[in-house]
Order: sequence, then structure tokens, then C-alpha cells
Amino acid sequence: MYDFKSILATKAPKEKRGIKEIQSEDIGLHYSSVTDYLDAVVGYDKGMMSAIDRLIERYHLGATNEIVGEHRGSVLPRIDKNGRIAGGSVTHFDVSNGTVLKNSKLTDHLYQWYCYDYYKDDDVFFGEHTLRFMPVAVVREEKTALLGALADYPLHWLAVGYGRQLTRKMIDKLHGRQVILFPDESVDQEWELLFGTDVKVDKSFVKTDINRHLINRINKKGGCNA
Amino acid sequence: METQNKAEMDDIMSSFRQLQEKSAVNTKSFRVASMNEYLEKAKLLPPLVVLYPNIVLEGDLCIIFGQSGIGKTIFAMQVAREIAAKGKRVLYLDFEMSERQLALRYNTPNFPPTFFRAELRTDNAVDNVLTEIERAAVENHAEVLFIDNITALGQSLDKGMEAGTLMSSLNALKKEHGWTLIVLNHVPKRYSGAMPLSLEAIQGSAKLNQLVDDAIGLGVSSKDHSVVYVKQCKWRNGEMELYADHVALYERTKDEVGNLGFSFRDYGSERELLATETENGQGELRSSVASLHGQGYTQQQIADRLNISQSKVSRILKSQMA
Repeated sequence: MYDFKSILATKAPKEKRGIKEIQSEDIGLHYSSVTDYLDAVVGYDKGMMSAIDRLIERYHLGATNEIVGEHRGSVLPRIDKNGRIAGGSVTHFDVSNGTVLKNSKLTDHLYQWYCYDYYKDDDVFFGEHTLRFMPVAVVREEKTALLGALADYPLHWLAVGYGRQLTRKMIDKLHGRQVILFPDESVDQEWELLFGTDVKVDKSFVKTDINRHLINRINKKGGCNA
Repeated sequence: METQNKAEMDDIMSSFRQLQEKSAVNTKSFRVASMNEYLEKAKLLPPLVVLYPNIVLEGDLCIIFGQSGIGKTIFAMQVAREIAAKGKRVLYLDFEMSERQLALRYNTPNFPPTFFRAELRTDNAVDNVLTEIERAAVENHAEVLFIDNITALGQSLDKGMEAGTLMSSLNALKKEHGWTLIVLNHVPKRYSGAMPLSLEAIQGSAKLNQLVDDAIGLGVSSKDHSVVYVKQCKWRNGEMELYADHVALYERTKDEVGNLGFSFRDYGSERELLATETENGQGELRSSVASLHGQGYTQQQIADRLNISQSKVSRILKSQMA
């Protein structure tokens, strides 16, 4: 599964090890509970499922052998702008509603999955490696960022990561961009207090579910540029 | 369309729309405002004041350039004189001419009282010419400054400052004090009569082009060296009047009190002025002059008919008599 080039990359110092591209013929190996959940969200629409495949490639989503409720664990790496894995998590989702059934650190699975160790940086967003010039929407969960990407907004979606904290360094990285934080009720006060003076905090989705909002849009639009 | 967009815009995009429409924020170095605010403010500005038609607008940084010996100083002095005659306090910083050269050009001290000339004092070593220019202009309440010329000024600087950098510093001073600034500059000899005038002739032209509001080129007619043409090579505010096919022709003359200057003759095409004169052409001109003279035409009438200066007619006739 791993080519010679990526094996060589494992010999590099930790902070210089790059991530390899996912080959389209290997995409099936990357299906996991998060992609199964997204497939269900889009009603197994063929075009949308291809878009989900492109999300797998873009976000380097992986799958573990561990199965919970008939679905594999999802590898959700946080990759920095230089294409280095800085952390991540392995999450088992409930495919029917997207709730988290089990969450563990990527460290426990990374070597088996990527065949090498990684350097650690807690201040990297999920989705940071794909950041370009579009306005940025920051959400808490990886799943929400993936839904946002499928929802065809002219926006860039970054997630802090399930169970992780938004830090000053993360916010500072976005300085100069159009950024809006979309907290849910678990983090709204914290984000407002810590970062409300620096960036806009939109509390529209504290009482309502942003995931539901995005799903409605995906189903209404029936397309995406993922 | 707008209504449709609004209808399509959900909570997330309307939130970004608000962010996108946020007012501008000034920074330490930039004043930032919407284009419309700038335009509203610009409407309140006073109208452009022409200090010398097609050459100098009030508040501009203007460069007058041309080959050495073409008459840039005479032209600039004339422009400066007219501006001073309008009541502006003009300071002509002369790094070029000695008092003796001055006396050779101007017999009669009939300049307007608001025309001042400054030359560097030789008894006092100057550490920073720019600071001294600023001091001289401020203490003399100058409104319009002529610097003749930037090359000579550059040479008088210890650090060998490049002309573009020097202009940049002068421009900053101009903005600070609200001066109108006219700077003279030489161009290399290869631009002598054979090539069309262009700002590119000046060393560091890319930088200068950004800095100057107006660039006025002076060239000499290849048919008649006493005819100088003036061309606007850059004119930031308003429509260009003196372009390649419509340059202003001046003849170098002394006025009735013996002061050197340029008299306007006509408009012409730069291409025709640059045309290389052949031996045949020269011969034809001589015989035409002789023929017209034989028919009893005056020198001025001959000059007008052949589109040359009266002094050239005079020279041709003298050489034939000799």
C-alpha cells in the first residue's frame, strides 16, 4: 500500500515527514464511519458520494481496523500548511446521526495507518493544510467542517477538533483573513470571551444545530465543489 | 437579481456579508477608506491651478528633462518667471550657473520681486543638501521650488545618492510643505535629436515615473538648432496637450531688454523635427532661402515660409555672402 517514496520519507526527521497522496484505487481502504455518515446524509447520491471521495483525498481521511457498530474508526488528521501531520484523532461516529461513539488519540493508531511517527503541534486546525484565500469559517468538530465543505459555500472550513481547545496561536494564524467563529453551545462563552474582540463570533448556531443547517443546504442544493 | 441573492443568502453567508461590508480601518502607514468616500472627499478639493499651461500645475512634482545645452535652464527660468509674476514666491535653486553665466543670459534685472534664486555657498561645507534645501525654502516661505538640476545636486551629495532616491526624498518634502516642485534633469547624449523624447531616457526612469506627476521633455529640432520643442511625456492630471504629433515649438531669442528666453512659434510633429537632414535637404534649403531673398522677401517672411527660425535664415544668408 505504501510506495517506496513514502517509506523513504519515514527516514526523515519527524518534523520533515510529508504525507503522501491517496491513490484513487486505494480510496475504498479509507471508507470509515465518518464517510459512511456523510454518504447517508447525501442520500447515497452518486455525484455526492464522488464528492465525498474527493474530501477523503483532500483531508487525508483514513480508517482503522477497529469496528464499532459495523463501521470502521475514522482517522481525522490535523495537517499543517506544509503538509505534515501535527496530530489528529480517531473517531467512531454513529452513522445514523453523526454523534461520536468513541474518540481516541491518533497516536494510538498513527503508526499502523501512516507507517511513521509524527511531530506534535496542538495549534493546527483540521483542514489547515488546504487553507487558501477564501473567507474562513471556524467550527468545533471535524464532521462539521466536512459538511461545510460539501455544502458548497464560497468559504473555507476549519475545525478545532472534537474535544480540543481553540488557542490564541490558532487565531493568530488567521490574522488578516475574513474569519467568523461558529461555536456550538459547549464553547460559545469561551470563544466569545477569549477571541470576541479579535474576530467575529457568530452565535447563530448555539441554540440550533449547525450540522442540521448544513445538511439541509446540501440536500437542497444537491451539489458541491468539494 | 439582488433580491434573489438576498433570498438565497442563509445565516452563514449573511454573517460573512456583514464582515465583508465592514468599514475600513486605518493603519500606521495607510489611510484606508472606501472608494466612494475618497471620491466624495475629492469633490471638495479646490480646482487644479495651472501655474504655467501644459507645464506646471500647482502642487505637482514636475520633471523637465532634455539633453545638455538645449536650453532647459532658459526654459525653466521663463516658466519660473511667469509663475512668480502671478504672485507666487518662487525659489530657483541653481546648482548649474555661475553669476557670470547668469549675466551673459540676462542683461536687465526685471524679474518679478517674488522670484528668488539660491546658490550653494562655497564658504560653508554642506553635510546634507536636502536639509539645506528644506531650510532655504521654509525660511524664504517658498511656494514653488525649481531645482536645476538633479544631476548637479546629486554630485554635490557626499553619499552619491541615486537620482530616483533623491527625488523620492524631495517628493516627501514637497508633500510635507505643500510645495510645487520642478526638477530639471539631463538625459544621455544618445537622446540628442534622433530619438523621440521619453521618460525612459532618464536614469532610474521606472522609479521616477512612479514619483513624478508631470514629465516635460525638451528636444531640439534637427532642421534648426535654435528651435526647441516641448513635449508632455507624462501628465497626470488632465488631458495631454503636447503629444508626439502636437509638440510646442519655441525659438530661443533675446527680448527687447536683452534677456534670453523662448518665444512660442507653432505646434509641430516630433517625427518631422527628428527627421535626419541629408546633404541634399540642406542644399535645397539654402537655395530656397537664396531664391526667396532674391525675390525681396524679408528674413522673417522667409523663416515663416520655410518653417525655420529667422536666425537660421540670417545665418544662411551670411554664409552665402561670405
